[in-house]
Order: sequence, then C-alpha cells, then structure tokens
Amino acid sequence: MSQLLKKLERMSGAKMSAIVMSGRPVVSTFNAEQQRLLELSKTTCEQLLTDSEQLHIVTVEDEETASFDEVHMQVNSDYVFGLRLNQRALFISIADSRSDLLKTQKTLRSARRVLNKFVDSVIAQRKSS
Amino acid sequence: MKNYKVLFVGSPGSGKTTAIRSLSEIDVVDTDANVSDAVIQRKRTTTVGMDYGRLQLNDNATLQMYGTPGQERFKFMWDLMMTDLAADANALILLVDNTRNYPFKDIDFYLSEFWDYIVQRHFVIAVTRSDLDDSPSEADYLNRMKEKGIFAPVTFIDARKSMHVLDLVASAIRHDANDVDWSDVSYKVAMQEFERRNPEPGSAQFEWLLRTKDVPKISSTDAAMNVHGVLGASQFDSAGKMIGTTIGNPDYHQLFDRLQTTAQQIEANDTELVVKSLSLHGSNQDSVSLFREHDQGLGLVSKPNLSVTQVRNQADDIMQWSEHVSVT
Repeated sequence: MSQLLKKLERMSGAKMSAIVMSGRPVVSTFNAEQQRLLELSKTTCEQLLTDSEQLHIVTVEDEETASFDEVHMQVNSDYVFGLRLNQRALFISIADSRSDLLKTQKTLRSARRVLNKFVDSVIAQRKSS
Repeated sequence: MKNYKVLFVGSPGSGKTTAIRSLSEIDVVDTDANVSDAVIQRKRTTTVGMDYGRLQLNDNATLQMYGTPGQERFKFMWDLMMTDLAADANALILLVDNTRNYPFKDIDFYLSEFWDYIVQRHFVIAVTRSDLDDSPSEADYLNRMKEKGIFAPVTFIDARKSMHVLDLVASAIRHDANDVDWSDVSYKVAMQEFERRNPEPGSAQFEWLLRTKDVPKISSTDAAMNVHGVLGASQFDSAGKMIGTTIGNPDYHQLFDRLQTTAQQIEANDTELVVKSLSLHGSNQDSVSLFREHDQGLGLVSKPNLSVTQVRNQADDIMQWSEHVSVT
C-alpha cells in the first residue's frame, strides 16, 4: 500500500504521507525522524475537524453537503494537508511550503475515492480477522 | 547594433514600472490594469503583463529594460521573460520596497524564484521608498546578504529619479558595456528629466503621473475585501487579539480563536516550531484561513473556488503593507 502513497507523492509533489485510522497510522511513508511531525499533524487535524463540526458553520446554499473536511497547516517550511476520509480515517500529506500547493491539493482531493477504497478494505480485513 | 538588456523584478508597488519609465526615452509599453486584489492598499493600477522601455546609449548600443508583473499569480510571465524575452539579459535588478513590513522575506522569495537566472548574470539589489521608511538600513541589507553568502551590491534609490536609475543600471551592466560613454548618457538622461518635469496635459507622462499619485490609506481588512472571492477578514495583534474585522458571524470569530489557540499551543510545546498558517476547507464550504507573522495575524473567509495559493499570496501582501502592530 505504501507504493500507492509513493505514487501519489510523485504525482502531487508531496514529500511524505500516511493514512491514520482511529488515531494510528495504518500505512505511512514517514521515516523515524519524521514521526513527531506526523503525530503533530494528526492531532491538530483531528482536533480542528472535530471542533469545526461542533460549530457547524455553514455559509453555502447546500447545507446538506457543506462541511470542513480538509485542514492545511504551515509549520516552518513544511506544509501539512490533512484530509478526512471518513469519520475514523484521516489522510496526512506533507509538502514543501514553496512547492506547487494547488497541484498537491488537487491531486490529493482527486485521490480521495482510491484512498477511501483502501480504508474500506482495511475495515473489512479487520472485521474478518 | 548592440543591445544591453536589464530585467527588473520585485514585489507589487516596488517601483519597477516607475524605474523603467523614468529612464526610457520611448513611451513605455505597459500593461497596466485596475487593481483587483490586496494591492489596492498601495496603488490603483498594476502591471498585468510586462513593461518595456528603451534608451539609446550611443549610435551603436541600446539599453532595453523589461519589467515583470509583481504578483505571483503572473508567474507564467516571469517564466516567459526568463526563457524568452529577457533570456539573454545582462543583469537582473531586484527592487525591494523598504516600506513593506518584511522586506527580507521578499528578497528570500525572489532569490528562490530567480536563482538559476541570477547566477548567470549581474545581480543588483535596489531598495526603494526609503524616504518613507529608512529601516532596514543599507548595513542591515548587506549583513543579511552576507549571512546568506551572497555578495550582491545593495543600493538605495528613488525610482522616480532617472539619474538614480541610470546609476543603478550602469553599475549592473558597466562590465559588459565598455563601449558606452556613461557621462554622455548621464547628460542625455538629465536633459530628458528636465524636459519631463512639466509634462503637457494629455501626454503619456502626464497621465502616468495622475495614475500614480498617492492613494488614500485603507485598512488591511478593507484591502482584503477588495480581493475577489474574499468574504470577510479579521486582523489580529501579536497576541492573537482581534483588532479589526469585517465579519459579523460570531461563529467565525470562535473558529479563528480556535485556530489561534491551536497555533499558540503548538509553539508553546516546541519552541523550534513556528506555525505560519492554519486553515479549514471543504469542497462545498467557504474556507477559513489564519495567517501569522511574529507581530500580527490575518484571518480570511473565502469562497471555495479561491485557490489555496491565491489566498496565501493575498494574505502575504496584506500583511506586508499593514500598519505595524505593536507587540502587546
């Protein structure tokens, strides 16, 4: 599965990425030195998405589909993308803040369906084992 | 005929068009359009394509001056100029606006964007608007460049004065242009400036002076509202306290509070980390973004179709020009 993440990184220009389920990474390309950044990204994204849900700010016309599902954070020269895949899963990706962030964002957003399929397969595996 | 080419780059409002206009003997080919973004804080029109000016140096040599648009969204023009129109330029002149809050950040940005181009030609840094703000000083700039290991000349100029711009250009291309008698050129440029002091009403110079006269100051939040797609803005001081807003919905204020608190907690837990921005997005949801500098913060609510880079570029410019926020 990390092959898929690496391919996604090549396409998006990201440096590393991970899928986090129930607070734990199930697949990751972060190395040992970068674990602290992964932990920080995960905690921040989860916290902010939960907080924003409680506020339920909706300003667009279609209230049914409106919600925040993406957190961005620039820490030093790292740019963190956190995408909510479902209520239990989060995709974290780190890019250099001077890279083409729009390209990264678009690529990651368009990969959501594939990433969700992976999450579904992990859930199915866990249920069967 | 020998052509010497110089490329002027720099942030919006740093004086690229003004510098080229003050030295060119032809009516400058400009592509000015009404400002539709945060640059409204500084001027009412901005270059959206390129500037081109020319000066005959002697019977056999011409100076061609090219100016890039300042905003990063016109980056494609920077690439076009570096690879085509000004690919064979002798020098690159980086204009740095001394009234911006973080001029060194501008230098770092342009060095990074133009580095491959800079290393192949003469490079000069020209600081403008120091009559309005004399800090950082020349020594500060030289120290900064020394720290970065770059030994580029730094000169302070008034881009409106043709002799300043001529000295700047001459210092940048003098080594290549040894067939030019610069004292002759100086005389010619001085006479040209003298003739231009009282332009005829209706002339190109007259219209330019009208367009570039001082614009009334507006707040950072009002400047943000001039950006197409920005729905609301809040300004914060260094402690994260709101000091101005155009946003009525209290939920947004609460959300900005949470973003501020999150950023402060991260920095408190690890002093090596600096959170420069935090934002929330959704495909059918307006985006909420907080941008931070050590002495101020800016919160923006924007439509989902405004890209992450567009919002960030606008926030950078707004914070560069905002009135300094005192540390509380």
